[in-house]
Amino acid sequence: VKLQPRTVFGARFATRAPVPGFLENDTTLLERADIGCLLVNSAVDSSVVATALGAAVGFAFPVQAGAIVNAHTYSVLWLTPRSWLVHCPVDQESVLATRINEAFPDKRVHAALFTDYLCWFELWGSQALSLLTEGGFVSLERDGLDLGHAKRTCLAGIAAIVVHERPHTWLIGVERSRAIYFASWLRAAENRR
Amino acid sequence: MSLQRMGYRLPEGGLIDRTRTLKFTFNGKAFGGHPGDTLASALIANGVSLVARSFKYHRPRGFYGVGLDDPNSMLAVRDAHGYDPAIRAGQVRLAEGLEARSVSGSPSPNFDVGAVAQLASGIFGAGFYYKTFMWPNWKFFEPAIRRACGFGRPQNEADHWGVEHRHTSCDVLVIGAGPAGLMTAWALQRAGLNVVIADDQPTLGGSLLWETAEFDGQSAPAFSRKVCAELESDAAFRLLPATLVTAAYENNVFTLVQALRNARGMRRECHWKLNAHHVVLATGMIDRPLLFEGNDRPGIMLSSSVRRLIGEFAVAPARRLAIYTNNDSAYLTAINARRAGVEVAGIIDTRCANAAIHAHEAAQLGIPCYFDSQIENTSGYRRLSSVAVRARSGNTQRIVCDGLASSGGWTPLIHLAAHRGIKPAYDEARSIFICRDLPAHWFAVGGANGALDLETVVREAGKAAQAIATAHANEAVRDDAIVRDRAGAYQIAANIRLPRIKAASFGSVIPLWIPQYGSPKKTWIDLQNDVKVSDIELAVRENYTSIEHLKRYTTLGMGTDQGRTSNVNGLAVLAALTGREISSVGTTTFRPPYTAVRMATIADKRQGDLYRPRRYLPADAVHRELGAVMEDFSWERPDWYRSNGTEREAAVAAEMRAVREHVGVFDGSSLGKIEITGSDAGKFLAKFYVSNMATLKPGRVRYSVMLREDGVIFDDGVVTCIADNYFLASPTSANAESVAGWFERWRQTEWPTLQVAVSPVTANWAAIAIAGPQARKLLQRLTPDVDISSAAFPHMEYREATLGGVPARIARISFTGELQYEITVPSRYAVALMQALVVEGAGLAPRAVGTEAWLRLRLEKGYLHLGSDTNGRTTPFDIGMAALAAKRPDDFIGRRSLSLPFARSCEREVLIGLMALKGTLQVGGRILAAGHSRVPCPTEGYVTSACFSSSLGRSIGLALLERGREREGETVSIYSAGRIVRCRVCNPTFYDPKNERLHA
Repeated sequence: VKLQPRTVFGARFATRAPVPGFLENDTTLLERADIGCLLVNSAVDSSVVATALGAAVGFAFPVQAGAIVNAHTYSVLWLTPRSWLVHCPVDQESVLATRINEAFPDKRVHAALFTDYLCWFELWGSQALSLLTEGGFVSLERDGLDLGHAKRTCLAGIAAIVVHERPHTWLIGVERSRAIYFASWLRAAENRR
Repeated sequence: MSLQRMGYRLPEGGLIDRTRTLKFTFNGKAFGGHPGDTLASALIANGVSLVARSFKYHRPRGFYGVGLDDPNSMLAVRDAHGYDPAIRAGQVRLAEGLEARSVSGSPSPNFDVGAVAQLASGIFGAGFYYKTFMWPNWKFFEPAIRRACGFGRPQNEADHWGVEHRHTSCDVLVIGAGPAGLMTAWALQRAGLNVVIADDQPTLGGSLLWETAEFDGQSAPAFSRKVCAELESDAAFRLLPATLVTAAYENNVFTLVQALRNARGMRRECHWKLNAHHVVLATGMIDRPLLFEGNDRPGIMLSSSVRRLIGEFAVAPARRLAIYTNNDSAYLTAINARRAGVEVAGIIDTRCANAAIHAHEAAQLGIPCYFDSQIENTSGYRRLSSVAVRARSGNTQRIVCDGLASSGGWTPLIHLAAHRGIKPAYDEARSIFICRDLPAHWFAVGGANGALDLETVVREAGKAAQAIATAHANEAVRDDAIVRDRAGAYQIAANIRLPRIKAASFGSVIPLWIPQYGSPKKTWIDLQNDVKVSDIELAVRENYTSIEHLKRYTTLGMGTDQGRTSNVNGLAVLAALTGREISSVGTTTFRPPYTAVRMATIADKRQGDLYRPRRYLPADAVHRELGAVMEDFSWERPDWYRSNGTEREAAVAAEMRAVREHVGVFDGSSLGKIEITGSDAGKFLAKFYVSNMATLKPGRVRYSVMLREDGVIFDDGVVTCIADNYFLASPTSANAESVAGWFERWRQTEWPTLQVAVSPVTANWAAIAIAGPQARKLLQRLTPDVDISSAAFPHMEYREATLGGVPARIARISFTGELQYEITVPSRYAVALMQALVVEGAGLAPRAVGTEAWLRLRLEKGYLHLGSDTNGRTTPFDIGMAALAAKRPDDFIGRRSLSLPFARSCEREVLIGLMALKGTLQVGGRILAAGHSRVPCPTEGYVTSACFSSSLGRSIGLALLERGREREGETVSIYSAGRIVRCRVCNPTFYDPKNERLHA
């Protein structure tokens, strides 16, 4: 018996695929099943462990709110003063988790497998931000969420991680069980226009 | 002298489009208006003056204002897109085919049988409801009173209005696009700021659209158009016309409602939530009426509303207009009316001639002025016909008029600042309430700040703009930053220029609160709720001297207009009657929203899944392939499977049989999964659970409950020790997120020094349970790389393994009383695992098992189901965990409460088993007190779970029963759905009490 993986919307795992039923007027919506994820949680303040953590994995962990550090095929998103989200290739998830957990046998830092927790959407287009702001403040900052920054916020009534990846391109991670709802919500908002 | 009593359209002027006519109806009668009209202006232009009846006395009511300030003209309005059961006529823009109806007056406002109430007005004073409708009770009278009040009736059919929501942030929010708002925004150009300007009217400009003034030699409307065009072309400015700022909240978050209209009416509304760094409150002010006998007759209007009717809509509200004032602004109304060709019968000024700065200009236009005079009373029923004027000398004369414009001063619209908790302060000099202290980063400019002339308005606007621009540039603000240049223009900074202004001032006011003449019983303060001066007198006699008490006792300001035109007069009368200063009486509390907002607009008309998101299991597709009948437990979970039977009961019985005889497959992915790590993880968890989790060894699993501070059970579940300093807590599905929040809250607030991290990972893992005598064989077919024999992998233990080629977590725990494994794999494999268990189980007769069968299986075993078998009072003592709690030497949340007498009372309801002697038990059935066999009678508990047990061949249940533990073997009567069922109280473990099966 060999179990085969499947994405929320039934696409092949570790790929990016259009979300079914989304009208492509000004915006496109992709399911990004090619994003592997780790939730790295620290039992102490991040500033105490960030350096050791970086040394263990070979890339830096940001300590500034909302910041993202990109290194090779990895991105580290600052989530809270004691947690980060690490984007990595799907097949690197376990390897990376093991490396972090072995570096901290006392469990001061713990890397939890997180690829399946979040369903990542890529929303692209000139109207993408306008569509997202139907569901909540993407950012309360005066200039909005800076390019290359991320935040945890409430969108369409559910928790979401929003990454301003490129101009007009937004990555939105929502909890897997709510991914179908979120896609329907985006669809309904798009259809109303 | 007789008059043709009605308003009419002026031959020229206004901002309406006279080239087009829009047809509409009012109370079934056809009328015409023009684009640019409101429903109010169009009705007045057509001579309609009576539109409603008052709340209590059913007095005739006409237009008192032409916007949100009007307490009278609530109408039911239908356009091509929808129906509004009650909206002010001044808020509705005219559209082709619009239908409007009065919502009060039966059969019509013109002839209202309810008007007989006026005959009994003597007994309808303040507090009438509270004193009178005592017997039999208020509910008895309420339907009739509600019908008589006339606030419109909703319809059953759905509207076609669209709704959208928007969230945005900006540097500056300018609220109001009248002279103050526009000037501030204009001055902020080139300041490099992102500015949002919101105004409730579809055309920006506010009073610039109708007041007489010149800006840099241009008329006010022309200047307004120019400024708006400039702002519109600036990418940093977002103009939101037809947008009402409805509420202000902490951190400068505002809600706004924008009406998006087309030629056929309002097609959709946009509900904005906006966060602003700086706020400019430029909401202006409205006229405050003067009090006098008979001041509620149709034809009597606020003075500024008359100016707006003439200037913006080219409508004369009367053929012969009188003016009543205690200030200079009403002179401008008289002058504008006269210049527009309206006959002005005279200006009645309560002040002496010396105080009236525009009297000379009025006299030049042939307008008679009556100084040192007050209106003694008025005449007319459905329309004003004359006013009696009494001079200080005692001379009285009657002035024939069909309209009266009244101005007793002004009321700045400071509601939004007050939403933020700012207490308005009384300014004696101008007799107005203003906000002296404002929330951080707020600026009040213009009328909202009590400015009475345009020069002051513009100066304040410039000052606010300068302060904002300077703050943005991180420079100090200098009060002397504003100077005039040679041409007379205000020069604030090199790049901020304000216009030269030529406009008449509103002058000054000498307040007159309680008239010297006339009857207080006929002097109205609140026109909508029929509150008179005599009502306040009565309230004061009955010692309702706090403004908040007075409001509730008399209903002053409690109507749909929220007392915009009545509150200040009411509190001033209260001050006068109680010998206090107005400032010491204060105002009532202003609460959001500023005016009514449709619930549908707030709710965004989202229904079903878009209203309350359902959560889907990762193997949802397989469940549907297997014919799952889903039930919404916030998670969409299979209740039973059609593949196991066409009827629910038969399918559930088959699913239970499969578990008892072969093997059942149950998707428990919704159960919570929270990883707790760190050197203090065990100590941390021990603080939450009744069992001591700190002693849990790697590879072991323990069940327990967690309590709130009051000792009541909050959640239950198992905790697994995966490795040293690494635990997995599994709360119930419903509480998974709140337990994670509960952990985090205590970690951050009470135990910040504990080295622990909380990682909620529920959705990352799919958890499929297999239960039954064949469960081990089924698990074996997935080729685990660990020994799963009973000896190597006993009950309540945990293993990490590779299963079906993927990493998996396996826990041997049981909710059914059978041999059971819970297999957890990353959610991406959920579909494959579920399919594999059903397909690979061929020969073992596996069946997918739904929630109903699963819960019945645990009931047979006597296991607790949180929420069913516990309530908001259940403690661990009540479910048989007293010994466990007593064993704990250390503290845990809720422990102290368990030592209190309430928790230790022998009278408490405790969990017991029930076995029906005959008949069927039902959940919710009440256990009759001993010695009773018929209802009604006292009860001693209730059935919390019940089902027919095919294993036992009878109906069984769990119940919370007073002193239950000592009553085992007793026979009790249970009343449910009209029947009495006799049951024996027993141990709750009905099935396999020796646990032989789950240890197999």
